[in-house]
Amino acid sequence: MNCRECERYVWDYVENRLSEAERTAMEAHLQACSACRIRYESARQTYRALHALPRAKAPEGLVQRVHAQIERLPEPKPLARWWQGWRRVALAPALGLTVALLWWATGYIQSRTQSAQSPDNLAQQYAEDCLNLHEQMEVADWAPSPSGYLLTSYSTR
Amino acid sequence: MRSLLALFGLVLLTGTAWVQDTPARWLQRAAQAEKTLSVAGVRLTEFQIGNRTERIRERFWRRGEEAIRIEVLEPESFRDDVMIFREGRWVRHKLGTQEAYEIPFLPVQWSDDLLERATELLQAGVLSAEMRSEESVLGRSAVVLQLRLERPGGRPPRFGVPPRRPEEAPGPPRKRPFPFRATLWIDKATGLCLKHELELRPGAPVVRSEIVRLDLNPRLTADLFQLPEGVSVRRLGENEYRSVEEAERAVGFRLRLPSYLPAGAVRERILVQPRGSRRMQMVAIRYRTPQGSFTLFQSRRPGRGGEFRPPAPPPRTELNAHFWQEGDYWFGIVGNLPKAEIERIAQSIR
Repeated sequence: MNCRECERYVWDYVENRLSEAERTAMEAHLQACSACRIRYESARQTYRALHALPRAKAPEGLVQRVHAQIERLPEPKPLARWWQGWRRVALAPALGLTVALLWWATGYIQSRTQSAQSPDNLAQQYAEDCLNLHEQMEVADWAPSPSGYLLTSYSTR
Repeated sequence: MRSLLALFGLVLLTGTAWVQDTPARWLQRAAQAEKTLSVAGVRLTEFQIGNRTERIRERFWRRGEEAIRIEVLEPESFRDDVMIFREGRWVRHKLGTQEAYEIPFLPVQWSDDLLERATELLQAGVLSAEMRSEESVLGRSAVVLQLRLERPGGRPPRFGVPPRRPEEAPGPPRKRPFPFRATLWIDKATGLCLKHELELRPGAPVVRSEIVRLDLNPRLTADLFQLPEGVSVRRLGENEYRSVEEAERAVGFRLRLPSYLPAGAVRERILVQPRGSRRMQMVAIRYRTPQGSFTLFQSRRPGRGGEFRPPAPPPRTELNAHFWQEGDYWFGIVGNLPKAEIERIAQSIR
């Protein structure tokens, strides 16, 4: 896994949505790359902060008052009725989710754009991956124990 | 008086012989120590690949060359990985699980592949040795031995030294090409190699390893070298394959193989690595030859035809590479063989 892929999947990792192999590859990369560790820590803290946000408690009698007002209103159109339902959702988690989605989407679009617009970069990255894996297998041969083997086999776990 | 003089002479002679111990003798001692000593401790190994450095810290227990146990302490992602060597095979087990699998290839056999081979090459004049001043490792006095590939009257070979007269021994090369440079710190008292640094090719990559805690003659119980009860051993890890056909079934496309291979080349590993894009997998087929090693890479990137422009291989000392695309398939060959040889292998795949 390289930095670009790590950036792409960091939210999936934080939300525990990666497969076992992808998770292990991610962890191996995070061990080796301090820049991605910072990115991961930032995502993890954002995720935790969003989950830790307090839910706003509605004032006493609010529901009844709102219901009474609704009763007085003319029959809403279907779309307006749908929106009314969503107003019940607490604002803070919704906002938090929006921020998280925007954060993720920005990174995703950026990486997609880079990939699509820079075939040379893509090919260069592929070449770099090939060279790295070859060298990992090479050094694994000369490790004093099979621990070097772990470097090339992280995706097998 | 005569007998006293004779005794004094004998002591002097022995002392002088010890002081003048040759590099070859130290290598033999180190090999002997590897084969016979019971030791335990902690070892830190660093792998310098390109501009990255990977570190592995592990505990080890070893009963000569008979049995070894390794427990990974660092990095965190491999913690609880246990590797046991017994009866000629390495098995990897994750603590707390009921599964283990056989490691598909033997890593370097320290006494055979490095120490004894170095002795042979030294005696053949292919390797030069320099004894540097003694150093202290773990508070113990260590002899520092620097070995370097050298051909008498010629420049150092590019890729290490092939086994002697490989044409007489068709089939798999029994030995790996020797590293370009090796520095060993050998404990004066026991002959144990406490620290080493191997430069596989001039410049990179480098393997550095050092014992950071050492217990001599520890109590080694038999259960240290056994898998927990009920653990079954599979033959391979999930993404390692023994045959091309098995790998093809796993990736869902037909793999291409070279019709030309350098003399003595053997296929060593077939590995499938998922890459970032979930639609793409990278198949790596590794070959070893008496002159070095090379890896053939193949990937399918559906819908990306026409996009691939063969990149200039990133600079790596003594490493040659060739990349190309055919339709949705990407190919690459990387190895420390001469460029012409890499090109020839690539041509035989097209």
